[in-house]
Amino acid sequence: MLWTIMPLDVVLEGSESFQPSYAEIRCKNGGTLLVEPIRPNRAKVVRLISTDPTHYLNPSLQPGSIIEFKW
Amino acid sequence: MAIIGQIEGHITLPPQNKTTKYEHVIPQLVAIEQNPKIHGLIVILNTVGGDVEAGLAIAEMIETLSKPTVSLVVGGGHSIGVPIAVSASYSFIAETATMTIHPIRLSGLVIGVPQTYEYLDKMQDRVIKFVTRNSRISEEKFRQLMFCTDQMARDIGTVMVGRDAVRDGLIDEVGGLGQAVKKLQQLVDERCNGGMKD
Repeated sequence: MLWTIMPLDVVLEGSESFQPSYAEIRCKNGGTLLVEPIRPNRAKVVRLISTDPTHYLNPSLQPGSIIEFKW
Repeated sequence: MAIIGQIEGHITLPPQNKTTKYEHVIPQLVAIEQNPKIHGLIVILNTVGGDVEAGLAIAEMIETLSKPTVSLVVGGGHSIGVPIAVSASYSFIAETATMTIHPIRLSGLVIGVPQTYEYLDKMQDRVIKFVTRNSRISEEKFRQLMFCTDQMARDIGTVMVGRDAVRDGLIDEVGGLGQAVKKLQQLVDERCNGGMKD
């Protein structure tokens, strides 16, 4: 349930056509990253999945940050 | 920690929204609690609201953090941003920042069955209880602000600018980044000194 001052149609605009393609990559430190590939070897972090809370404090693994990786 | 844009909960929002993702913030708060090198937390808020459950979860986590916390509202801390702002040990609001308090509702939807209304009412009560428990504002005053009809052009509720929020006891003090950091330092020092006496 959303409680916001933004009109709901503005918030949800494009939600039907929004079909992102995500890829999962394994991190060296043990976590898994859900990323949205933007260019070869470059991707935007969507979500970090890890059982170690300290991984979440790493700024380079924040959702929205761009990472470089090798397949 | 910065909380900006929409608070994203169980539903992933389309990409035009800037969002703060609760599934990332919650483990961050766990890590902050566990890390002995971290002595305090400053939460900077500029949010238009968002998911009630996710927002309350973040607020509850900040409230129960054993380390000193200071919140600073800049720009806006609307809707579900209000409980997050008051959850900190001490709260600041910038002089020109605003907070909108308005009822929770399903916009554009006619409430068909009484159960729906009761559900919304229950959600609202959770928010009101949290806010009144964590700030100096009374439940009566908060409800009055929430259902005020002469403040907003197309909606019910109240827009509070910096000083109004402090006057009504929602926020502790008007201030900026400098004051917020200084206050956090003071709270951290007090806690360290208290710990040494034990």
